Amino acid sequence: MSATRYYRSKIGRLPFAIRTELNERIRDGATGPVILGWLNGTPEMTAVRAETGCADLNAQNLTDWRNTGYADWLDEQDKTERLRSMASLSQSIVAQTGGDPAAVGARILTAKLLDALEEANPVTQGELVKAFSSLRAGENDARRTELAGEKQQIDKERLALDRQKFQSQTVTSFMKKWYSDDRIRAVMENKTLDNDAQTAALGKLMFGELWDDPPKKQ
Amino acid sequence: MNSRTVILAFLAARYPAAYDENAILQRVNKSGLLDTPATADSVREELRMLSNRFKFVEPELERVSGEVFWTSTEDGKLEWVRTGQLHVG
Repeated sequence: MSATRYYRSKIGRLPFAIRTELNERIRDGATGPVILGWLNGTPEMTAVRAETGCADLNAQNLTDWRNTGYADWLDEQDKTERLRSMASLSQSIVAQTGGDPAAVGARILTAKLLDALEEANPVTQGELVKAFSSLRAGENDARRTELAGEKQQIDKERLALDRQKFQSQTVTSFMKKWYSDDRIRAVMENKTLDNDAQTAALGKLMFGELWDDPPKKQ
Repeated sequence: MNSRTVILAFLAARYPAAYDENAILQRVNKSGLLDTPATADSVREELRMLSNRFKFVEPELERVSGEVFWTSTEDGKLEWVRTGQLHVG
């Protein structure tokens, strides 16, 4: 629906806002009878009837509108959608070049980039948008890989720190608590126990119910 | 169609891009949407009205050139969507 194109039909005589609402209702799947019931009851349609002496809108009027005004409106919606997408793309390209995206300089640059995209013919425009989008996707993938690598490195460092902490705590604990424990000494000095049995006995003393015997070696 | 509606639609659809008054004047006249062609003074007046009264656009001073650039605000964008997203090519 062009804002300036003159539609000679009854619906075309309605104000822009009502025609926009009508188009939105059609797009949202409202049925013909529901739309006609609403539209014929609006004060704007009453004004058109009074002005032209025409009858209420009927199903044929609505079909004609679907093929003209509504089709034009869909076309404009599509253009607007493309424009918004180009504006958003321009903004993100400018943001990636650094600087404050909220600063006026970035907004001016966004406008210049958007102008260039708008001036390109539809084919070039599509190719440019596709190329920029793919460039962005590539950069995002590279950044994701970089972040995954950094995370892996952090995990490794954390594991090393945990190990170091565990070893240090175990040694400290052995020196402070277990070394002077008679039960521990008894196990250590019991020559009848083999290595596995000694480990299990010490483990039970030190960790109680939390101790799990390691699996037997084959 | 009045120039206020067309100016807001031009800036809101391109949010957050910023344009100077001359660029806005040329683009709204080129759109073919206006009942009568806009002038530099009428565009300036409408931009001030949209900014001071409605807060739908805002001016920003570019310090290097000393020029004023205009952008839509979030409210301006919402108003443009609410009123049917007029396309200004």
